[in-house]
Amino acid sequence: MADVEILENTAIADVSIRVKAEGIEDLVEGIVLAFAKALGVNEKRLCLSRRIKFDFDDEKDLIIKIFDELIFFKDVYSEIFLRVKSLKINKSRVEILLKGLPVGQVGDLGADIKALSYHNLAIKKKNDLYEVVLTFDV
Amino acid sequence: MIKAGFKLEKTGEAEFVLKGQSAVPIYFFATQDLIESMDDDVFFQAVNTANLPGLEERVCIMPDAHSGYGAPIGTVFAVDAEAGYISPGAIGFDINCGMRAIITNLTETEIRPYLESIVNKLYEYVPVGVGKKGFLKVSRLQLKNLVEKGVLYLVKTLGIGWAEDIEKIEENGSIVGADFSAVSKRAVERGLAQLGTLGSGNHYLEIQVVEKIHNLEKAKKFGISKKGQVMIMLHCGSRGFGHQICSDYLREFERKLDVYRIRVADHQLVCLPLSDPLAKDYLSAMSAAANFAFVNRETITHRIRQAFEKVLGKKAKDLGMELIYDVAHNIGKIEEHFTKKGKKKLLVHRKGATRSFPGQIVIIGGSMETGSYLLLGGEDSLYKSFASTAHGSGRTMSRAKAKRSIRGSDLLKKLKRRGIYIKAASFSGVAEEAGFAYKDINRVVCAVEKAGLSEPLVYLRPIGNIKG
Repeated sequence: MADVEILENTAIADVSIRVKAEGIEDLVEGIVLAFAKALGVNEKRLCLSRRIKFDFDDEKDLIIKIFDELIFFKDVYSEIFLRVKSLKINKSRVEILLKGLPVGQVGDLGADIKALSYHNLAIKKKNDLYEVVLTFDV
Repeated sequence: MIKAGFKLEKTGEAEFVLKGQSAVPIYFFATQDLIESMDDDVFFQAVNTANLPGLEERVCIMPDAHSGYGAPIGTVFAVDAEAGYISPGAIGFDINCGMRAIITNLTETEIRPYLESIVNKLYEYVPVGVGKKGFLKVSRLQLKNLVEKGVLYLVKTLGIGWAEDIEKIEENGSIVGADFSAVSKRAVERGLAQLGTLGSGNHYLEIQVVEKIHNLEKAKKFGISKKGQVMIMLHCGSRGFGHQICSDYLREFERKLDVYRIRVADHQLVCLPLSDPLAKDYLSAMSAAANFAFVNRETITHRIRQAFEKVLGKKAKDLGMELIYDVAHNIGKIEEHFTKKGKKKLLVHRKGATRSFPGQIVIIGGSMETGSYLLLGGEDSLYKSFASTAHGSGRTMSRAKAKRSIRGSDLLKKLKRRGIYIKAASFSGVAEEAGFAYKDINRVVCAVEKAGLSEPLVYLRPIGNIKG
């Protein structure tokens, strides 16, 4: 299971998260969990599902595209996806079944995640271990 | 003085310069105490920004500056409008995040009995918070027309807003050159969903009263004549439409960096020459987002007027609810400026900075506790800061720390005891925006006055607020 933590020493107005994962599947789960953590959401009862699939060039492209989808669902459908139910991934294609809930069923949401910034975006990989730092515009 | 390991030379009462670290000097328009309160990353980011290619003369940092993504919030620079480079990250995600000020003929005494009802009605009429949908449903074609023609289309064709508002909006609420075809499908979807929404975070709609008039003769020209007069201030931007445009183009710009062998210290500062088709597309898309934001603020103004009408039982015209001004603080604008080489067309990048041409209204929004200001653009801004000034009071504390310092519900109670009624979609959002998380706005305004960038006109005290 990926380790996700909010970082304190960051630019003042944003939210930064570090994800540590073992293997690319774990990384994908960690990225989705990071979105939940950045929003401050910890709901367990997830009643919605959505499947996304796309091609990607590398890990950075994968991360950017996952957030693109998550932010899109939040803004256009008022749905927040917080967990990965199932995942198929190879070197250049991914298919993810996401679990989430309507925005209206979440309690106090706090700041909104509007975009993933490139500022301080760092992806370290050693053997199969990933460490990723993400900064969100809120 | 030394700050963050950099030596700053004092060149004026509220002016310091950092030289030798970058392609152009960096001017800080702030008093010493404000510079000392800036987080260190402001200086590293300012140096990164000042090393971008093609900059004209200088980079300007405003007194409310704090660290951002790539460039600090509170940064201004300019490039040649044809031969220069454009940087989406140095304009910001929230394209045309900006401010709007509306006057009324009401006094605090008159509005107090109705204040909670008005705030509650505003909360009902203006969608705020995460995932909230706009009340204005338009087709793709209508959205195209809105972002290409701006507020004029909204007023004349959709019948929303007042025609007399148009001339009181920067660029008459329509930046020329906007092109819907340069906007991605994803951005369009986000825009359709969020047109007519306020947003969340530090976006707000505030009812204020005139607390102090610094220059009555000049204030009267804008309909402000007495202490206690009620005003409304609005802070929001281009919502997901602008965010998606910035994200899309950051990605595309990054892919093209190697073509021009451009090296940037922070990939949020990726840039391309304006001669490149992708750069031209971004400029067109950015203009579309800017127009979206003008339209958004006019749409929300329509709802504000309706809310006042509903509660007070009078027409908005009879309540004197006139627009004073609407101005951007995240934008790239093509403007004529005097440089050392004479008059030149420049593309000015303003990120957390407000246009400040002499005599033009400037709106500097403070926190929901401390109040806001209207100012007038100053003459010195023309040659010091590409006609720019500050935009807010600047954060001094992270959101996480602010939330640990106070509970949102406690803050709301505290403010209510002070006579400030706030309706918010999120308690933690309120805590993040507590007054102690921001600089003292009076010091920021004092600094821009000392630097000659703008002069204070009116100080406004908040009495009611809605936020996401």
